Amino acid sequence: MGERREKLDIIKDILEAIRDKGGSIKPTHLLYKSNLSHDSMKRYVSELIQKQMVEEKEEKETKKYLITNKGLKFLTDYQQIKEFTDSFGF
Amino acid sequence: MILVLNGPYWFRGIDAFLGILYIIVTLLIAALSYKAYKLTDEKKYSYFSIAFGLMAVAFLVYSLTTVLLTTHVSTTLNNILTQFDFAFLLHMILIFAAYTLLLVVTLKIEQKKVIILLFTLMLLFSAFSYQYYIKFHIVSFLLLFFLGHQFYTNYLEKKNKNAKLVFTAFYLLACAQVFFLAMIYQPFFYVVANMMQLLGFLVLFYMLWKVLNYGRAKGEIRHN
Repeated sequence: MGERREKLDIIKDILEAIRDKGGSIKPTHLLYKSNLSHDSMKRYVSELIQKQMVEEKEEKETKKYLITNKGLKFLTDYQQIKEFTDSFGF
Repeated sequence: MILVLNGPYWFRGIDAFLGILYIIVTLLIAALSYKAYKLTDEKKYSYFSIAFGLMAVAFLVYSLTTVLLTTHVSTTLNNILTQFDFAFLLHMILIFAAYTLLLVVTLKIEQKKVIILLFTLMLLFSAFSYQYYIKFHIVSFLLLFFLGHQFYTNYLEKKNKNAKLVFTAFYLLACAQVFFLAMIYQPFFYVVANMMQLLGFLVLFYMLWKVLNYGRAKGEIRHN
């Protein structure tokens, strides 16, 4: 059985999934890539929208999630914070 | 009794100077933890940040009082500081609050009743106590040793070099408390205790330096 992911890792996985798809992704693709339940994904995405790391846009009647500069900055900071939290065993 | 001026006469003021390094290290840890809190909104990071912030304030109180007493700025101020020892008491309460908060986070204690009980016991112990100096270092030793053991368990799980540095630092800080106690018999042990404490904080500083540079190095690789 896999190790339980921390919130920090889940946020990173969601943002990475959007970035790796060229900066925007469909909800169904994100659901598959993030390996979360539908409810959990919706909760995390709305939190990331609130934190201005992700934006929601409608393109040709299709909903898409876009990564913002703040989201990209998180991915740069992630390794540093991960190293720090692992050092203390969070 | 003056509880902030300890050790040999020639060492007075040097310990206050060392306090600056302790303040820098604890503030850096508090800042990184706060950064993690801002990114995730998880309370454990905010508690950790508050704990190290409290430690920074505790060292600031101790260092500032030592400087004021050794430089003899004002006789009235010196009389107040030496008569009530409130600087040492404040230092003790802040440190106990910080260590207790660290235990709450590292042991993942979530029950509010247990957290309140722990803080109440620590406060009662500090407020209704005599022989502050001895009790402070005995309790600090126990708490730091316990924290060191928790961080050692984390190292066994993660096998991470930085985790190794963290548990080493906390064990060094715990050992320093033993020498602070031995100072009662021989003032020179105060110098040994400070050197050990300094070593502990230098190890933590090295760990932080590695963490900060790790992020930068990764960023550079990504940009290239």
